[in-house]
Amino acid sequence: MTAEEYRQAARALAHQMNMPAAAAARMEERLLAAMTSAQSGLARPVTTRPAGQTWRSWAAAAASIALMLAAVSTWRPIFRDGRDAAVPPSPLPVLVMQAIGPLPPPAVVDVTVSHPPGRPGPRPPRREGAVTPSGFVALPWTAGLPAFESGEIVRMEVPVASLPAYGIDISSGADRPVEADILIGQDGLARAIRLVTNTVRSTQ
Amino acid sequence: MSQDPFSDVPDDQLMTRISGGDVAALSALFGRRHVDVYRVAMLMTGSAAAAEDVTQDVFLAVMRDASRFEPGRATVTAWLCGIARNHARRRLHRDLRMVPFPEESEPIGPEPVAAADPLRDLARAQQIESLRRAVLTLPLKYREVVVLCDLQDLSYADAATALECSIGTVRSRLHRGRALLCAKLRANEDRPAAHGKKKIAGCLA
Repeated sequence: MTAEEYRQAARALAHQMNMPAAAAARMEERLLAAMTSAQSGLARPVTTRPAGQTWRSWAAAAASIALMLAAVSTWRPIFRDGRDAAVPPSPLPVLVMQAIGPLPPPAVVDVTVSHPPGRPGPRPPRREGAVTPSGFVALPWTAGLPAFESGEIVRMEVPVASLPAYGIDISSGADRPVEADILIGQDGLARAIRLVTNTVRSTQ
Repeated sequence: MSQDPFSDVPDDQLMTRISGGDVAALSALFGRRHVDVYRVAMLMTGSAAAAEDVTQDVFLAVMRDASRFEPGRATVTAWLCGIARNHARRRLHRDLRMVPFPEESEPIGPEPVAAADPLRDLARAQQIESLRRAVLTLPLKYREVVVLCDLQDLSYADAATALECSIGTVRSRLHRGRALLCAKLRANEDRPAAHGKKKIAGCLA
């Protein structure tokens, strides 16, 4: 094919590429309808929400807050399984060791929750004789964890019923949560716990 | 007979009116330019159904984004061809994952009519068909530049705008694309001849 033949063939090919008239008419009709409906859609107020959506969004927000609270109150570090049992326990840094002290046997804590008459509330005033356990208690399963290098202390409410799992024994139960500081290591795993709620009395 | 009220209105002004929500201007632009868009889409994709989809997508984009057209930067045709090219590329990419049914290629040209020189017309029709097939087998980056410059008759500057590249790139790709096309056409011409010779040789043996 010569250059001139190519040019002619290209021109002829281009002119053969026509959309069928019926298809073009249908498409034009659809496009104009779409544009008209888009314009009428713009005329409608788009900022107001349907009435049903307002309470739904509030309900969703409340549900998510409740879920977050439930998650925080029932948070527990994950038990390490036996795979780490062969790893020798590594010593914690001096500062943490000082804070924790020698690893004690599970502490026996007497939890008595008292509400003075006429003043119900979650945080009663500090009483004489109420002892807040000071110092961290190493969690029972931290022996196989890597050495503590850095971390942070997170204050959170812990259900009293879950304290035995953290190595703190209680002589009587209470159905309200207690505040505790959790020492969390660089790997995000809890290493030790310290109760801070002043209504918990230690009977060690 | 009603006169087209937009017959004297240039494409640029139609775009301005479309961005202002003028439905009649969109209708006028569609009537004027849908053939160009469809042609580019058809030559890029090789499928009438895909070309129709691409054409519709292009005018939907015009409807939505007409205000983004910059009159001094490119012609409306180049702008539309650029959008068509992008949509055709997307369509081709999507269709790569699909396995087409084996089908006979449909005749694209007009229905054959009795001609004064049927043999010459037949040869010409064969040339056009082999050109179409050769264009469709070009790599995409050469195909689009051949389609825009040689089949759509866009200037190098307009093609560069549509392809979002420099004029130098358009020139070099066009040169390479034509060379590839030439090689493919020559190969197509040789193949039937060789096949025919074999057949003849088989008959004579």
